[in-house]
Amino acid sequence: MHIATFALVLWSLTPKAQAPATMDRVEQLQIADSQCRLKQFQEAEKTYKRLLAVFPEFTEALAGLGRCYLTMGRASDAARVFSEEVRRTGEDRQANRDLAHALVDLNQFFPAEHLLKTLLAGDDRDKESWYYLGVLMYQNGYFGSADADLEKSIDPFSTDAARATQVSIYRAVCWVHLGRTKEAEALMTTLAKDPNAQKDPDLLLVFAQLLYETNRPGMALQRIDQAILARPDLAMGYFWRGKVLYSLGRLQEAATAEEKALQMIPEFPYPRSLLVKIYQAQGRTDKAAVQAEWLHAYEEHQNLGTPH
Amino acid sequence: MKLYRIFLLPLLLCPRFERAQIQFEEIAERSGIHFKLENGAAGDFHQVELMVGGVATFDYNNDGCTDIFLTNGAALPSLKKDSPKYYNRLFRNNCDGSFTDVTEKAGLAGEGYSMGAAAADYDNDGFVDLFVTGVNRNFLYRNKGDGTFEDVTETAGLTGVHPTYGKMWAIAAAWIDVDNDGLLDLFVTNYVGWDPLTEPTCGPREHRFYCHPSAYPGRPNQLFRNNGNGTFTDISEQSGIAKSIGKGMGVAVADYDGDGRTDIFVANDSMRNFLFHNLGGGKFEEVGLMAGIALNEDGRPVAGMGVDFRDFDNDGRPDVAVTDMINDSYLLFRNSGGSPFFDDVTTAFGFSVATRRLTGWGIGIYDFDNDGLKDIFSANAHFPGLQEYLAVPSALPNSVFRNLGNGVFRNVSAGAGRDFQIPGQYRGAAFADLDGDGRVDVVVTALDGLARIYRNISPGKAHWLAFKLTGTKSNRDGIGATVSVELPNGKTLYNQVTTSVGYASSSELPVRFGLGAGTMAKRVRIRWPSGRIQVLANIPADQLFEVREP
Repeated sequence: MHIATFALVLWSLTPKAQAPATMDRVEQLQIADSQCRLKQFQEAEKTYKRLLAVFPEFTEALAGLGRCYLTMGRASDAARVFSEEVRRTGEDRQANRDLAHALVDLNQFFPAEHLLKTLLAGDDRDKESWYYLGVLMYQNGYFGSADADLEKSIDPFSTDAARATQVSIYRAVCWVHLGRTKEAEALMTTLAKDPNAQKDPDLLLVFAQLLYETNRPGMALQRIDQAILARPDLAMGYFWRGKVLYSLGRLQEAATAEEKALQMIPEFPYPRSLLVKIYQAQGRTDKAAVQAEWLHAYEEHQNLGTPH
Repeated sequence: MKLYRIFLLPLLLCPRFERAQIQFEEIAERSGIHFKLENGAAGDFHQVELMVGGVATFDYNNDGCTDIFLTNGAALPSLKKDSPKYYNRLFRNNCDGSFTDVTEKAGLAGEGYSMGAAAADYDNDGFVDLFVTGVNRNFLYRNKGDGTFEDVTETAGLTGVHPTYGKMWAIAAAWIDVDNDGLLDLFVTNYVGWDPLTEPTCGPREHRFYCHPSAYPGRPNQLFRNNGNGTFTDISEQSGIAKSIGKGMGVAVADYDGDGRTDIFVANDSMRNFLFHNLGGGKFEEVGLMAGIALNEDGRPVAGMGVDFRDFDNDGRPDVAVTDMINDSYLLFRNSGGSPFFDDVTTAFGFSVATRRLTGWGIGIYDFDNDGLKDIFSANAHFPGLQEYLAVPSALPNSVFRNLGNGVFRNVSAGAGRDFQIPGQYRGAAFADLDGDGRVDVVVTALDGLARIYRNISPGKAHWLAFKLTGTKSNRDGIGATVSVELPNGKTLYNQVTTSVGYASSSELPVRFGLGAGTMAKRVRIRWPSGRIQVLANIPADQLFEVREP
């Protein structure tokens, strides 16, 4: 009787005790996800962590925290969280793909490549993995394979317009580097009308590069100015502006643009290299020598390697 | 009349057909040259395996026909030529279109893991000698004049062992009279600190890679002064050369500022390039950045490989062309004589787009169609192991870019003949008129493949003129002499005597000019390294003209 009563009590209590908790953790996860979407990152992180402190095995919360870290740009934290998720879930495709995404963001080339190729060996229709593999190749300058991988990532039935635009931007850049200039220009011209792309500074600068390399410096300048308008803190935009102006012999404007780039990022070496030339062309040899000296010191620290 | 118009219309509407003027045929096997470049690779991804393949074209027996010397690798990790397949090879030009392997008779099979070659008559005895660079050890072979060479490395003091760094890995060398004393000095580029037993591992365990140069420490280059008695003195420190630590690959020499002293350009791998300005008195200052030649147009260092330092726009000032790695584009620097001295014209001359997809090694600025405009040849190949990432094979065909004379080099490789399309892991390239027809031929080595001899069969009746200089007060080879040729139409062409061309390679001594329709040189002006000026008049075209320093 005692046992039966105890069992009854347990039966009656357990569902009551568990039901609110289950609802609670799902609700809390939704709240955390929502906070993350709204870029309330500190609050979101706290909510995920509180949830995981109470329900440490709640892998959905782990995944949510990892994705939020990715949104925050904290790829190292994301990789740590996704590694734990993968450890728990084993071969779960989404967990592995999330981990690969974090590794791509960290540009950990070999681990990311290995993981993505393993996923694709299991299912070569996995568009998401093709996308991240393409991005990995793209950011490492392997434009031939990047283009092929990104092409395989295209899902004609997808409703994700932003992703589709991003793929097109990457591919247009790849084509510039692959020497497919006419195709690249056609695609870039189309993208320039796409609201998702027309203010993308990467696209605009590579478009400018293409125009510059095909002897249209004036049009290149227009694209560069658009990029700077879209992102006024774009140091690379000012570098490119100075480079094109220097090629046109507009020395003072070129110097101003490069100096502006340096104000934004004092450790940025490229503008200094150009300033060495511009200042000399202006007869300001002493100022050129200062920049050259900085570059010498910079290279000594950066590029000489270490004995082993 | 109507019919005529209708017939003519399609011709007028068609884009102008541009026929490639430059054509080559491959003749190695049929000329008796069978040489496979062996790097000893056995799956351990030693860095040295990538870098082999220097070649030299020079007339070792003074019969007027240019011979070919090809360097080779060795077994790894022993670095020993433990099989004849690793021997360096000398092929004598029989002056009839055929070559004979005379390696063993000449005593040039070599030792160790060879990299490059530099040929010149360092002892002014009238016979061209040979310096061979390599891993841990270099060799100087004195030409005895009887068809044999003697290893004089130890006596000369040129083993390459550095007082601070110990054994060095040398890639290329240049013979240059730095002080214009009539004795050729020697500049050696050193790559990185490397030991087969401590080779770093790169890439995942299941998919190893050759490491990036950043995995190895840089090394200074070396300069040796010729004492005139068969010995050399290491003046790297006192000359200022040793101050610059780099990862030296190709080297080329020219007097870029017209001060009568020869300067030195070194292409560095993944570091800024060096331009050593000759200050006189055996002193140099590295001025690459201030000269505008150290980095590419974006201010980035490139993976520099080969270089030629020669006037490609006929303004009398030597320009520079550098091969490098995919995505970088080969570099073209035009010497404007201004401030800075060099303008990066890579984009302006059409090279950014034309070469971005290439990785290049050997390079030479020569007038292959003798039209009076120097063209550019490059020996190409991507690094092995990258094909899956580049989505193209690592073996590539070579390239030839025709100088259109309007500030554009056009890639005319596709029209350069069927043989020219053969892909390979090409490395060193040396240039010479091997068959005496006045057209510049090319010898190219290929990693794990056969050396190619590209015989220049470019059509047309363009005229040419070549000069073989013999110095008396200057060094006997006349290296460093600048020559200008004025044509009857008033056009002037410029060139200089050098053997340091491309990647780890050495090209023929005669200095060549394509005259186009010109049948003679109205006036020839030679500025010898001694400072003497010699003027010749009315030299008929289509000959190799010998000139002795007065």
